[in-house]
Amino acid sequence: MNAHDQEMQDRRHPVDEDIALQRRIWRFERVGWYVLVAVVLLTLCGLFSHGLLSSTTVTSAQGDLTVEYERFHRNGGVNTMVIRSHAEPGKLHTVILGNAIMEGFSIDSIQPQPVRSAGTRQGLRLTLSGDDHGDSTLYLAWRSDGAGLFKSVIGIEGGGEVSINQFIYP
Amino acid sequence: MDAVLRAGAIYIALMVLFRISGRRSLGEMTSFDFVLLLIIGEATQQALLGDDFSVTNAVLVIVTLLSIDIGFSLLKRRSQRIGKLIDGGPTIVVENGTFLRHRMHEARVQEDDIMQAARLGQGVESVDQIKFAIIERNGKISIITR
Repeated sequence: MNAHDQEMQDRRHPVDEDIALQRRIWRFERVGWYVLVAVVLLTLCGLFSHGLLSSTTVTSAQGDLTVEYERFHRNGGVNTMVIRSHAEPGKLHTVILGNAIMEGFSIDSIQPQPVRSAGTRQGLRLTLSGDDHGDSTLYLAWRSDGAGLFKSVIGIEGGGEVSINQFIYP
Repeated sequence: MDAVLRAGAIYIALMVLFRISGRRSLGEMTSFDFVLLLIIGEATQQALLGDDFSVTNAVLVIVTLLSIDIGFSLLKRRSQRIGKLIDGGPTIVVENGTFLRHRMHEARVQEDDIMQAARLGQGVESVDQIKFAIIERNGKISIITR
């Protein structure tokens, strides 16, 4: 038996030791510290919203709809979304926000105000007027109300659509 | 329902985090540790209460936290092993005037910490005068002289 093993024997006096369990606890502390550092690094990378892993942009196949959004949200937090849509110049067009996103989030603010808005079976319909080139940009602030994964679809009526997956941490 | 889930989640998370930090092995709390604890309290407050600042919610959260705490203390009384898992056990780090360095290394305790505890508590000058130095469950180092 070497010195290390000798030292790691349980003593009975003056206290009753369980050194094997104690060493497991120390090991847990050591591993736990690496886990904490990993959590901090992942947070910096955006695993818990805002960052490389979270902020993303998706464009429809036709190229007429681009949505900038966050993949990860935290319950109670507010995140922005930018919807850029393109339609025929001089005409109104309607952006449809699918039902799923309306279930997980509530709209905190919306700029500019749409010409018309209506709640329908498909979701929320926002009618927008584009600029001279038919482009319009909608800035939304979403407050996360739910928790879990939300798969939703955002589309232009008669145009392209994009599907977005968002996860809300409790 | 919310209040119970929030309080339970925060209790477990804090317990695991403080277990990892091994803060207790520092024994004496420095003033900075105290400030850190205040900040941790501030950070948890919002998550505990959510948007609901009613008296009822506050009472529910407190009741939940206390009942979990009492539940754990009862559990510790019933099973010694669970008690050791939660609180750890006492560990001898000086035996008959000799430092048990492998243990000290794993427990992240240095000679200076032990000698400081020895001087403060017992007015001990050198390690030869120490029969046992023990890291207690609360993180303090107790000294038994020869």
